[in-house]
Amino acid sequence: MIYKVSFVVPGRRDIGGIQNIDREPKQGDRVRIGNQTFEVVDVTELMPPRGDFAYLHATCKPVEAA
Amino acid sequence: MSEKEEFLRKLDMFNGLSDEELSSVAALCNEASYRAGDIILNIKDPTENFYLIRSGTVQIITNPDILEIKPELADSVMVNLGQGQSFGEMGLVDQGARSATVRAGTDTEVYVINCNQFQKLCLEDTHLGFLVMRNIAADLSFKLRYRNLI
Repeated sequence: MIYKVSFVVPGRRDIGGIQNIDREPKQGDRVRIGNQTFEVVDVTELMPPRGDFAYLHATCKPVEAA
Repeated sequence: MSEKEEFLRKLDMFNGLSDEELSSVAALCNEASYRAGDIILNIKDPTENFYLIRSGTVQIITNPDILEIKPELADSVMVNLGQGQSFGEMGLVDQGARSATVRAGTDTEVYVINCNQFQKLCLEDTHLGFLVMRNIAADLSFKLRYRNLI
């Protein structure tokens, strides 16, 4: 299954985005989009799956640099 | 199956296509790469190609003039697209001018497909044409739902 995921940081249109990944995102996962790392805080289905594709929405928060 | 066809299989734009149909699409793909910050296409330009992102991230910018003058106005970045996404495909559907500027957010590799050649393929293979246009409609729907959430 391929997961088309919209990664969204609430209130921040300029970061986050859409990409295809081959592993279902879970709460607590860390993902890298562009030059930033995010932590997934919630995942919901945006559209029903079709063929080999699932359509998900992941709410994220930026991970602060250590 | 070639590396190019394996990549195309992982794109929802080509969901449902047979191996033979994927091979036909692969034959139209040309490789291109951009450095972070490069402008890939400009708003209002005529439509010639559409693009499939192999690696990296691009920024879709709807108001590039303001962003250039005031970089802090990051709201001009409408969406960031990463691996497996397409851009420039609206012109494939409506033949209109570019609706946004696209800039490489990171070093980016893409496949470029000429719209006229792809439309010719869609007319010659209407099964392929139907599936791709349906998938493009689903992708635009996905992006609208995304926009509603930010």
